[in-house]
Amino acid sequence: MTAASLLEIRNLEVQYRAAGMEIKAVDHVFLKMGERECVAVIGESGSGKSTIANAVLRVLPENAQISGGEILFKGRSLLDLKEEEMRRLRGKDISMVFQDPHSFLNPVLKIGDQLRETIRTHRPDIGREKVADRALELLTLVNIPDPGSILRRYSYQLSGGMAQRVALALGLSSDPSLLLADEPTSALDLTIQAQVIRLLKGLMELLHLSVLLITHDLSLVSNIAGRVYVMYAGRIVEEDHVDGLYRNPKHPYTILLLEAVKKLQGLESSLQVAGEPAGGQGESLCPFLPRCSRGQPLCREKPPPYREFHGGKKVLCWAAEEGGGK
Amino acid sequence: MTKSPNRSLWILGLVLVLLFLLGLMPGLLTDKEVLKSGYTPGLAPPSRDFPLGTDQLGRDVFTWVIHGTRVALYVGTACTSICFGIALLGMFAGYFGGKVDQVVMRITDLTMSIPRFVLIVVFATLMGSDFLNIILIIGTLSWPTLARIMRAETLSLKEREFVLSARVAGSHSLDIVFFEIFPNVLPAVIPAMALQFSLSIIDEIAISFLGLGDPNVASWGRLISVGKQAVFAGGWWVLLCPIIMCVFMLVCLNLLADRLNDRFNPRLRYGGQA
Amino acid sequence: MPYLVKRLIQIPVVVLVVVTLGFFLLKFAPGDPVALFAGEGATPEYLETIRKEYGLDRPLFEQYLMYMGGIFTGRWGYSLSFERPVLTVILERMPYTLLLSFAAFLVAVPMGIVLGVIAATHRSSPLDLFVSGFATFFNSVPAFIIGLVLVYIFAVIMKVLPLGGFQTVGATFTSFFGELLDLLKHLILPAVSLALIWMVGYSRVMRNTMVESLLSDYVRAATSRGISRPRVVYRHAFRNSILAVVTLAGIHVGYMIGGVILTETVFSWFGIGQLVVQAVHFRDYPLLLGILFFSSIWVGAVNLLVDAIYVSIDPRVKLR
Repeated sequence: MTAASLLEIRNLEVQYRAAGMEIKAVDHVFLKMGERECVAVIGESGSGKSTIANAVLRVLPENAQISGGEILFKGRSLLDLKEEEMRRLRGKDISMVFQDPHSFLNPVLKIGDQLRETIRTHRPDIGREKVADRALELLTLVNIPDPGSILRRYSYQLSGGMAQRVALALGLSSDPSLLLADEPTSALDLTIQAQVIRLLKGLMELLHLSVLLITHDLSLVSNIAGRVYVMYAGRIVEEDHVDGLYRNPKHPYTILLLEAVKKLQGLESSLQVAGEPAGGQGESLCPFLPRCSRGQPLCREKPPPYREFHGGKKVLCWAAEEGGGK
Repeated sequence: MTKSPNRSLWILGLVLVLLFLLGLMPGLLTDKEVLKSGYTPGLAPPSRDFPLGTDQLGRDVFTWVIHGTRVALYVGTACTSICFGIALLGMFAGYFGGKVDQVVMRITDLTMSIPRFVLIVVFATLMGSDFLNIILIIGTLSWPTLARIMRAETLSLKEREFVLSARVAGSHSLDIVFFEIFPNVLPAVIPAMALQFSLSIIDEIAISFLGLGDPNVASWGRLISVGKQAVFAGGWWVLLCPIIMCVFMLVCLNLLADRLNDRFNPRLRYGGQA
Repeated sequence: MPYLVKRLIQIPVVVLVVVTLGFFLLKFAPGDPVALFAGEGATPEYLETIRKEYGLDRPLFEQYLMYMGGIFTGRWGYSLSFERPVLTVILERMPYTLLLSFAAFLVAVPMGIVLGVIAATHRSSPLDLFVSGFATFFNSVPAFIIGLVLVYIFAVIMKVLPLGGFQTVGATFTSFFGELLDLLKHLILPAVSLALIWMVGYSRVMRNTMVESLLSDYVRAATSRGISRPRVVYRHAFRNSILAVVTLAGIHVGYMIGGVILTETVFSWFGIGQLVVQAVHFRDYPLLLGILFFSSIWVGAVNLLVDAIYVSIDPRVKLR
């Protein structure tokens, strides 16, 4: 790709231990992002996309383990860092926002307290007045009206959109270069969703920020992202620029998604495609095989390779063909 | 924790069943008559004839301990059943809502505002020490907690689809309560009932210990209070044996209640983390 | 705020109900308390005199009103066995029970919290299982049995601590310190018995709420912002658990009187618990009822206090 690489993930593997079984949630995933870029990762729930974000910040739950691969941030390997060094990175260079702002925020602490705590975390010697100023500054940055009164409120007193903006403010408090946005709009109303996305776009410009947008909602992606990775059952099955993906999808899954979106046009553009990923196909064959309608004899024999197409597209499929585009 | 919870459940259940069977058929292990004094002139330490010794009045401790199991079984079963019966009110309150709910909840709250044991003692004093009375008192004063659980479960079940579909099909309210709601309330209530079982036993032991129990009933509580005196004359066995037995049973019951709780409730409480 | 007012009103209502209950229980209880009091061989005229004195010859409803009025003005009847007003007897004993409970709390709450936090932060480690086992054991067994065992070990076998009571009979002390030490020696065993039982509750509650908090999104969120682990554990997980601890403490304190009856009996501790047993022994119904009323009021008052504390800790509770 282009530009100085901000985040590079190579061959990442993450395993979960659940009910006595080991499940590979992330399987040989690769990803590259540069500065001021917005990259989207699209997939169904359970495809492993959130796990990627958690892995980058190393906030995976106890029963998960990074079993392989590399994560490089500005050239440094994150997986090699000690916990204390990682902690210093969190919130400062890389930040995260989750799906449900009301569970992101601590219900028994005032907004102001949480904001001030976060500000002080990375600038412990800053004076009280400066902290207060910064808090107001951050709230204004995310377009919250009357920030002073919001500081005194509790999370349950805020609407979804407002709370999510507070969460964003928390994430941006130390001027990170990368924001991991894990389904930031899924819990919000449609109209608010658009607002939040626009806000994100503006912040990217203003703050020299890169955003890794993880979502299942295709419609958001075209508004803000530059490149897209499509995930299925823990693997990247297609990578391309936004237009290339929309106009010329090559992986059968991507094609299904886009068709589904067109069918549901105007109603809902999230991915509800028939069938379900079968857990753990093993490394042997294509993960999409059980649901694929374009399967070829070769698909049942050997795992597909990543094939490159013009325009920077990569597809994990035997059946993908050159040309096309609508 | 995949196989272990179920296995420990079975083991505990088995142990308890054995204990209770023992209580129901004391003749298997002892030929002495329980509570009959005079087997020995006075306090006698454990010997071949009297495996756990005798108390100050020459009563056989071993027999008493075994019979105590039976008493505990009766108490637990009877009190829990009574408690359960009354607690069903909670289910009705939850389903019918409105005035019924208000009234039941008021009564529940009121009952809970009075320290239970004090009330039990007062009633026991006033009504006399008949075993039946004791059981009635303990049973009737333990219902609030169970009733609340039933009500909470009913409230959440009320809105579920299978209930709505029964209503739409024109089922009579009472039918719905008994056939749709009740079976689904049971799982949540079972662990609480197991707990109530052991609490009832503790209550009875406490009452007997205080001297309020039925003098004709071979309760562990009474033996323990006798034992307390016996200790001063050197008769440690009179005190310790029933205590050990009773602790053993209570711990088993509690573990059972815990395991039952794990089995029947966890999905409601601890969702897994994905 | 209106919620607290509602709670405040509840107390007199409960007392009203309990008093009515008590009144009718007294009336319909088997046996004639007056005859018991007067003793054997009392002449019918003597019994009549007593009845007149207690207003027992008036119509039922009048008696009820008199009774009720008396309760609300602090005249709770006369204790037949102690030959003093019921309320006086009760209030005399209360400080001792409070002392015992307070001592038990002093041990139970901190220890319980510490154990709970350890169990929560070392989930599924041997430490957690040990605490769990400890908890299950002391959760199943009533305090008085623990007390009996402790007495047996420390007082009978080892003869290190006294058998009961709150002071050594007939001893004189040269200093206040000596007296204090004596009191402490008597206080240890009963307080520890109670504490062991209560401790388990706190540790369990603490562990459960903290585990839930530690797995929650907002803890993960705080970690993702770079907040250090100890701070996350304290500020975000621990604080949210305090509410549950307060709830439990409220229950322990509220139902204290019922809870100490047996322990005080085992240790002959001069508190309200032991008073109950004595009242039962002497069939002293007025006293018994007085204790009943007192405990109900106590429960109500404690609940009110706990609610007030709630409101100040958890902002969400205000919306009622």
